[in-house]
Amino acid sequence: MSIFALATAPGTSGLAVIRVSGKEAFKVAQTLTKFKKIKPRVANFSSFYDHKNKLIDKGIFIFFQKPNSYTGDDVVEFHIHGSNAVIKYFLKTLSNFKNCRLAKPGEFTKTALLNKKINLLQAESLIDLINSETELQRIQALKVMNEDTTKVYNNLRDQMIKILSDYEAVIDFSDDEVGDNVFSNNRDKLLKINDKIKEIILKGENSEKIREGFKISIIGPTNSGKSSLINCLSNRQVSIVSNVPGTTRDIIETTIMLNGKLVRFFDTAGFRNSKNIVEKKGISLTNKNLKDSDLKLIIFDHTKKIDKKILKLFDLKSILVLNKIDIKSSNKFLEDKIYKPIRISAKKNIGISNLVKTISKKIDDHFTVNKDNIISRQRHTKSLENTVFFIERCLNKKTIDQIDLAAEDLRLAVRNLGEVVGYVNVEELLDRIFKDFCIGK
Amino acid sequence: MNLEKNFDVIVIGAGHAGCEAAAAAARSGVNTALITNSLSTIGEMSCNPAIGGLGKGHLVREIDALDGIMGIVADQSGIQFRLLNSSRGHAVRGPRTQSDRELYKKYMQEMLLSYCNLSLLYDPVTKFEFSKNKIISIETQSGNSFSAKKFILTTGTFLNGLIHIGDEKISAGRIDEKPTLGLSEQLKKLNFKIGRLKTGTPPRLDGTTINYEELEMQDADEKPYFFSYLTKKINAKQISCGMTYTNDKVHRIIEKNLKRSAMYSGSIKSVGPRYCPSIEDKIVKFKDKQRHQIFLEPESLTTNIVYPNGISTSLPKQIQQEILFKINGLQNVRMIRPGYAIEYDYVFPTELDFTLKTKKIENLYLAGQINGTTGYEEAAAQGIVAGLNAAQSVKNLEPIKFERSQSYIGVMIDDLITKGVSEPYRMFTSRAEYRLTLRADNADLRLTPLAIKYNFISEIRKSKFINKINDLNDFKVILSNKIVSPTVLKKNGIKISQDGRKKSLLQILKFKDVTLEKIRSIFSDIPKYEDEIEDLIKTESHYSGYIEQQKRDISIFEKDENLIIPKNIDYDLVSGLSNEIKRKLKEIRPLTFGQALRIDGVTPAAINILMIYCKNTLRKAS
Ligand SMILES: Cc1cc2nc3c(=O)[nH]c(=O)nc-3n(C[C@H](O)[C@H](O)[C@H](O)COP(=O)(O)OP(=O)(O)OC[C@H]3O[C@@H](n4cnc5c(N)ncnc54)[C@H](O)[C@@H]3O)c2cc1C
Ligand SMILES: Nc1nc2c(ncn2[C@@H]2O[C@H](COP(=O)(O)OP(=O)(O)OP(=O)(O)O)[C@@H](O)[C@H]2O)c(=O)[nH]1
Ligand SMILES: [Mg+2]
Repeated sequence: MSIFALATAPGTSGLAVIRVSGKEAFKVAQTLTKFKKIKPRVANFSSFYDHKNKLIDKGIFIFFQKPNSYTGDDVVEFHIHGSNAVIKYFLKTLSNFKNCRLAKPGEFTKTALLNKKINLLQAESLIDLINSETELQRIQALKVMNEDTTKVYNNLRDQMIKILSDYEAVIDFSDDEVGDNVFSNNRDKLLKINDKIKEIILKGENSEKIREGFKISIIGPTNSGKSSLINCLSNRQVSIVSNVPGTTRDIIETTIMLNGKLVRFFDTAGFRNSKNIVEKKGISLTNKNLKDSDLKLIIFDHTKKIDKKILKLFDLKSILVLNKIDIKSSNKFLEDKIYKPIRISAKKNIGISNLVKTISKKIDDHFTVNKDNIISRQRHTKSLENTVFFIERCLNKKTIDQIDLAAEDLRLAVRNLGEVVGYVNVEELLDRIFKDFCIGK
Repeated sequence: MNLEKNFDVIVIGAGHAGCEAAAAAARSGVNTALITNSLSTIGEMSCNPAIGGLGKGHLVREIDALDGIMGIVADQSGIQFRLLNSSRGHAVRGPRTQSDRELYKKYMQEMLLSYCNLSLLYDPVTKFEFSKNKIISIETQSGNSFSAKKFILTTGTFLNGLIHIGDEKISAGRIDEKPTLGLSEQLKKLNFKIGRLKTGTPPRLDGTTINYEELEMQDADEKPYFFSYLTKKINAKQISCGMTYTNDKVHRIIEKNLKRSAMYSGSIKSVGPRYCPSIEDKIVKFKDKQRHQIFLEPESLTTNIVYPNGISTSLPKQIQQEILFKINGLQNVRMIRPGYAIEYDYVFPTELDFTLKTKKIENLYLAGQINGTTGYEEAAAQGIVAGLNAAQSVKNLEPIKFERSQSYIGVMIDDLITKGVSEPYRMFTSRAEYRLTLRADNADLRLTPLAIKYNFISEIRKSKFINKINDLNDFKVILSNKIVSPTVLKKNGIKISQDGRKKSLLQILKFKDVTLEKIRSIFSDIPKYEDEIEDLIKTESHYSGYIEQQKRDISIFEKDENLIIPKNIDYDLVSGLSNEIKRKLKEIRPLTFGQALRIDGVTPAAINILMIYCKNTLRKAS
């Protein structure tokens, strides 16, 4: 089955690109353009005709012969005019070809993955790149997708397989004068690899946050204006506002672009002692949300007495907000120096830009974004952490009677590292052993 | 006398695969015949006179746990028992023995002759008689015809065998034995994929002309580690073997004459095993190595023939002799027979299912070297799988599947049928992903229950095993019921982490320096069990942490392994799979998703697509 789809964004535009991939691609190009011979990788100007020989459009087309194409199969790209009518008709014409159908989302990339044009890591980053909304996301996706990144992981893995093959040779070919000093021979190399992986983890610390957005919980006593604030920040009515304390019960989420960063705000149920079971459940949800948030905005009504218990939640990754400053108050907040509160009115839209600036700065202060980062998912971090765990367990083995355990640790380390890019294989290991040792009698 | 001509199972070829296959089928209670070229070559060791080794020793222990015969015969004929890797961890120790070639044959023949349900026939098979995709009978050289429900072909290196010594070529199955011609052509006609592989053997020496005086000697272990759970004591006299080395002079002669070696002159094109390289290969590939080790292994207590382990070669005869003269200890040696290389046909093992039955002929099984493996133990292990399954099938019972997570046998079968071979396949411990669980010491715990379940086990072995299990459990209960505090242990000189928690004796056995003797010196009421049981308990506690982890991995593995791919799936209908992957899936037709994932080149992403496809079609169907 060959697949086709509009490769550019839908909607009116100057140009649109339609891509066809698979066995039929070449025939499709011939039929539509009436070209007999088509040179690969050359831009051709042509008219495009439908099955009844009616002109559809004029434009450019390029043929990529397999395996030198994006998907690894034959690919043709048609550059046509970006009018909705032209695009629709073109796609309809393509669907009339035998064995051709509209591609599912991501199917071109999936085909590329299956044809081993790209690896798992690259496929993931490609999806990230396509979905990227912020500059930071774009840069990160590009970096991870880069061949060099794959090489970094593969290099580390190759080095580990080399060491493992030393271990395995000591086990399976012990009569062949393969030395007993494998541990000492490889210790430094293993330590180096371990340090390198730890460095990657460290540099990639905030990558997941860039991809998924920074999480900020808005918390405080009931009626302090949390829902009003989230509405004000997102410029929409996302959360219900009322003067009844205990209005919000479910967690309400909204995503906002904030100085080039993706930020996810969570409006929560306000804290108070409540007997209502629904509200109590809401408050426990708030506590849970707090646990995996990156920052918190603690918001108080400055006309009310400050609840000391809630104030105790304040830490380095918090911003204290005093709301309703449009109303004059006799209560003075005395600890300005410590808490550096931001004074706003969510209702009257006062002090909001200052608050946004403070949030942005707080993110920058606490979550450095490293240019050399080559991690983009939790999955990668988890696999790398496991790798470190097993390498360190391996390094603890020092006597030859523990060689089988050491090898097991290393196998697990290699397996985990391989999962970042996507594979592991025993044959590969044996190949390694035979390449480097004179073995057998 | 009236010759019986009709059997349940006929095994063709009494090499290591054939003997084990015939014994297994007979043990399962079906009427079995073993047809081979001659009585005198039953149980012949074509190459080196030794059984076991790393990975291979595991296989023999597993064969024995299934009440097979190789372990017992190897023990009876063993003349130098050595546990390899004895300084390494338990999981990678491999029992090995040098066997007296003559005794091995003798005991093997006696064993088979005494087996119930088993007839031995000496008459080379020349032809299959087919009816559709079934074999109905076979014809032999003497003009007889025999029929059976199932056939097991185990002809080793004999199919179109061709020996090379320098530029001399001899059509043979082994030296001085006729090859088998015509059978592989018949299979080829039925579209079997057939390839060619090669292996080699060193010259044989007259031991009385070797000067051992200057040579280092290697002795047998003081306490032999037997293959069979039934063996209690040594049967044959133990010997030691000499060690010598090649040298610069030898290397130079070989380099100069390389073009005259069959392997380098271009007359042999097939692939040989990398891990069993000829001396020519070693010198070409490892130029930097100053010398290569040679073990001088006596082949028998009753002959003077010595097997120089390490210098397999296909150089011309006189060059071989010239080389030998240059080696320390062999200055005056007499070469009895030159070394040689042999090329032979093998069937791509991807033609087989997990019972080693061919996919194209419904009542034909293949086992041994014919499937692209090398080694006696690999052959025997396949023999037992084919023999048991042929018998199961005769009895209309379910096939027996050996899992990767359960045995080296399972690892090998799965490797063969899923990945195929590109060089002669040999077992290594590194092929087993659950190596710490699949140890030589616990082969019976892993496999004997299978033998009991399907009832192909002798009463003696069965009751012995059940007693052992009972003892093991009793001892474990005693050890885990006795709880001690760290302070008590410390007082008695056992240092463990002082987390203050009380532990059972079973738990403290995990620690490196804690032995059962030590425990008994503190708690005199702990009874003494047989060594076998005490060692097992200590080993298991030693690995307990890792084994837990492997158990989890195994359960994940088994989940994939239990996901069956519909038998009649049409891979062409699965969109999103590359043609390359489709081709491989169509060729191998994996039974489970786990197996599909192990096919070289099949990616996890492809498996996902396949799973989604199967789920969707199943849903539509129901
Ligand atoms: C020269 C040489 C060197 C080797 N070197 C090594 C090595 O270094 N290391 C290693 O591990 N292995 C080596 N091997 C391989 C080892 O010998 C085999 O792997 C093992 O013997 C295979 O067992 P099998 O049962 O498959 O076949 P075999 O042991 O070859 O037995 C085949 C049997 O089939 C019988 N037979 C053949 N054709 C017919 C017929 N038409 N009708 C009836 N009976 C028939 C034969 O008589 C024979 O008994 C070597 C083999 C050879 C020949
Ligand atoms: N004057 C004034 N009133 C405000 C301001 N912000 C919120 N309010 C009012 O305060 C009341 C509570 O506002 P919400 O935003 O619903 O408060 P909340 O913190 O979400 O309350 P719960 O969901 O009940 O915990 C509403 O009546 C708002 O109109 C403000 O800046 N100035
Ligand atoms: Mg609210």
